[in-house]
Amino acid sequence: MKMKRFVAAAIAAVSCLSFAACGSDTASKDENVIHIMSSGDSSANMERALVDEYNKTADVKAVLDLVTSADYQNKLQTVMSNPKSDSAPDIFFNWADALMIQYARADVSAPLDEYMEKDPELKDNFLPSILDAAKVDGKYYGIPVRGVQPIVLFYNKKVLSDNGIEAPTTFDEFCDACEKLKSAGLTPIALGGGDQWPTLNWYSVIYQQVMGNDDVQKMMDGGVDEWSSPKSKKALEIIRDMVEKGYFGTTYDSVKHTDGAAPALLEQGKAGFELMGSFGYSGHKAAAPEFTNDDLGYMVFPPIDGVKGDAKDLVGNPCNYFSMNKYTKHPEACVEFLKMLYSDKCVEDQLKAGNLPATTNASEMVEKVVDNASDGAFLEWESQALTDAPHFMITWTPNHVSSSSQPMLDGMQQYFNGSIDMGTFIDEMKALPTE
Amino acid sequence: MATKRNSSEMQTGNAEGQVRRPKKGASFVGGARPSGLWAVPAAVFFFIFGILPLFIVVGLSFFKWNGLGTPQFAGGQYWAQFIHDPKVMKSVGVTLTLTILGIVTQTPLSLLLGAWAAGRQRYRAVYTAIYFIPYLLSGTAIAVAWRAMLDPNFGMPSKMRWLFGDGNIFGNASSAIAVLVFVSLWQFTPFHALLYQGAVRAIPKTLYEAASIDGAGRIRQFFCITIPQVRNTLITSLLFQVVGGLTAFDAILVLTKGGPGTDTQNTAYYMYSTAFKAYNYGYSSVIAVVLIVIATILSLVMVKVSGYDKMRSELEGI
Amino acid sequence: MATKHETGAVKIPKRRSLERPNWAAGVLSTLWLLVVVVPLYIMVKASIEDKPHYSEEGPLSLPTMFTLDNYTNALDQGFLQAFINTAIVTVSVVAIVLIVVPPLAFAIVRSRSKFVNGVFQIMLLGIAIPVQAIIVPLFFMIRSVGLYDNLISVIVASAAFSIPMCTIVLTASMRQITNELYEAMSVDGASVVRIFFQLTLPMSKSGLATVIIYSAMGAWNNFMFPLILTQSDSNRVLTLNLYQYQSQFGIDIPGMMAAVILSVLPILVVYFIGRRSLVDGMMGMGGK
Repeated sequence: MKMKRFVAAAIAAVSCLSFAACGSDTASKDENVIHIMSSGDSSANMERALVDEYNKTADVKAVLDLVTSADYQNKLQTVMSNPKSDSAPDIFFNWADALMIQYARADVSAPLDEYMEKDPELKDNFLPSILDAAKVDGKYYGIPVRGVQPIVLFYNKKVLSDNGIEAPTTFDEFCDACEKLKSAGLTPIALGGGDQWPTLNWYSVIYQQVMGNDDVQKMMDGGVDEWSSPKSKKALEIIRDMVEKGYFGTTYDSVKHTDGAAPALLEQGKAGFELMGSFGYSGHKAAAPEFTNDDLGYMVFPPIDGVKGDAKDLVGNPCNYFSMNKYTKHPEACVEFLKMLYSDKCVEDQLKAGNLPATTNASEMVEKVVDNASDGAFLEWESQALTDAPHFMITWTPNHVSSSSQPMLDGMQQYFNGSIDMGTFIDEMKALPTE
Repeated sequence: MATKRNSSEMQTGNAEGQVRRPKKGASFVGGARPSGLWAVPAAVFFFIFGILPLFIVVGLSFFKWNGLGTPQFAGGQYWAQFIHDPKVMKSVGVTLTLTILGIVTQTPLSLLLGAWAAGRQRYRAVYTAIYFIPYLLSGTAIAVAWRAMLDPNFGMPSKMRWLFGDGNIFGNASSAIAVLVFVSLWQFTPFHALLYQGAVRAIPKTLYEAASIDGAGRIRQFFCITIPQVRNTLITSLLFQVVGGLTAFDAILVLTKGGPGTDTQNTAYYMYSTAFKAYNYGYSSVIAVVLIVIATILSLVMVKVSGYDKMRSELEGI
Repeated sequence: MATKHETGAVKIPKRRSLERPNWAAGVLSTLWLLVVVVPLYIMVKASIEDKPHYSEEGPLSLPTMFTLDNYTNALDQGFLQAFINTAIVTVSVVAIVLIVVPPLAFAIVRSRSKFVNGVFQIMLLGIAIPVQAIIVPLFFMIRSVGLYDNLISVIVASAAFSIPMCTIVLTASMRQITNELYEAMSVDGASVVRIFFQLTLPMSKSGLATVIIYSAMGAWNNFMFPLILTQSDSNRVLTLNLYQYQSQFGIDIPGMMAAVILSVLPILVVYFIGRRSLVDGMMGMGGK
């Protein structure tokens, strides 16, 4: 009989609760607002501030829809499958390369060129190398948002000096440093191979130097022969050589960057180096503020002798972008919102959060805005590195399709840890999906 | 129908020693019977959300679509791709390995724990309450916590070299699979143990008393009384494990991402990554169909072997 | 707690052999207790530390600081709303399952209609359909009827997906009711409805208990349906709330663990209150 009472209680509870649920359902979609869909991680405070600021003056108000970041891309894909529906956002958070192309070619994101012609500031206030990454078939489909994220070689100053090592200026010196750290019983390089993409960082940096931008670009454009070129093989040899010499230790595949384990190796002096996107800085800052202020060093990856590429070139996530729904009912309001991205207020907020926005005024504002000396120094250094770089290469997505990413990462992990040989790796890369 | 009923009628005679009686005429057995209407609400519900989408998935497997724009007919392109894709069969192998290892580890442990928890001592009640907590936690959080615990530099491996070696647990296939099996053991044992606990408590005490008068020890009682008596629960528990094993996903996503390489990628994860990472809905539908076929075959075998497909009461028509 | 049974047991001298202390079992069960408790300790410990402390000491050490910031932070991030939403979903799913499954199971066990048999055979094939396999078509179906970003869509989808397994468990449970009992009631001229409520339901409480736990836990920890079928903050459930602690490049472990502990506390309370009747309800899954 207990069960019967339970059933009765459950039914009573559900009817009460469904009234509550219906209550919240009545707030149906307002026609006269624009929806901005963005990725809801810690950086989203910037967008919150932006929306508040925009709503102070705008007629058509903005509503921010934050989607949990780990699955933002899935979510975006499903809602944009019908860009005209009510659930589709007017402005959405986007990535360069595969996704930008996908949304542009599917005719759901709007080319922004006509608005840029009307209002050149929308174009001129951003760094061209970063804005160009949002170009698809000659047209712009995104406005840079949040920080630029080149791959940086972070190191622990104290660990290096304790072991009598100077910050390396060449790849050979870097290898010497690794040898010394290894004989001191440390893991020379912290690598979160469990996440896979940190391993990709090593391929992109070494390939960029050994092969040069143009050839890597051809490879990404679908040139399968580049994968088996002598330069590609040279790069692969260098990578495998470093692994075999134990520069990454033996457990890199069991370590993750995302749960803080790989950065902690650097922070606690158990490792000397970590190759990571510049967002690594704010990660260190949150987990080990003292270390970040006192002992965190950073540099562009040192030049390898006798290779083609320019050591000043950078690779990484140029940044993220806001794209506009082609079928938005309020294109003007959207453009007004996008213009906020180069406003002093927005740039200031980003710099304070430790992001270097891709606006032309960012570097000069660093000093004015950032109080913390070490944060300021990093942002200034980063901004200088961006200015010095002849080229900023986008994170690898072979054939510019999302479907190639996972098989590429799988293959890279397997070649890196030695479970497949070079020939197999090259064959797998040549066979990556093209659609 | 008639044969089916017969076979279920044959299944009478439980351990309790039900008296077998000759079969009565089918005219008025058991009195008033429900009509088909009783099944309609659940049937409609399940048809709309469970069956209808299946047809759409099969349809989608013939279309090229990345989720944006209109799907384009692709004929058997993705099915041809499937035939030449070694990853599908590999993922099926991983799925079966994980499912079987799950059953082999969880069944004995939860049976023992359940039988043990069925005892009335108070400390057992306290222990059992704590044992249950993992089942209440979200799978993602469990996986994150275990990942942190198994970190080679900061977790248990750094302190227990004798067990973990250099600690490269997620770097090779066998240890990565072992971790997945162990974590699901940790998470799901409480549920199965609870099933067994209830079942063991329902065993008539007289059976044990008779056995101990006959001089049967604890171990013999366990094998000769407990296990046969919880037979039906065992089958229910296996069914849950097979279903859980086929659809395992959260733990793989957080713990291994299918790695190293594709060594721990099960079919559900492969399908997910094809659909939601590669945005290839056509091919992911092919993998989905494969998974559905495997799931169906396994369910079919399970229910046939277990006798769950018999509709009528076991004791009907006695 | 179990006093009534204990005293009852002690009074029967014949059962002494059963009550003899079982040392092997005691040791093994304590070992398993450790295996269960250590990870829980790590979760709790992480949740009361800030990020620098956690990352410096690693997961296994003793706590060196105490802060409730992670908890207040979790509460600030819409925890209450998410909790209410999750409770709505869970209770509704269990209610729907309890409304539609028992009649179906009853019909399967007692009806002779071919339709019912067909439904049962389909259910049997449907038990192992993975949610991921049909989530894309489901999304389009939900959106075309205008239930997108509405908790109702999560509720009906989750309920529908627990129907097959629940049906099978409950059918197994109902099959164990003897025919004599049905006949006895029929002799009294009981209607089908009365038989259902006065005989079948009370006699299958073990199955009902399993069905409730299974569907409730499935709804409580469901991730895929809310992720794909809802969007706005006001409809966010706990599992999605938890995902906020995972960004593209990092996880805030202390924050996440605090949120996990917060979200598990309510069911823990329910569990401790309902534990006895739960186990009692489970009795008879196998034996009878």
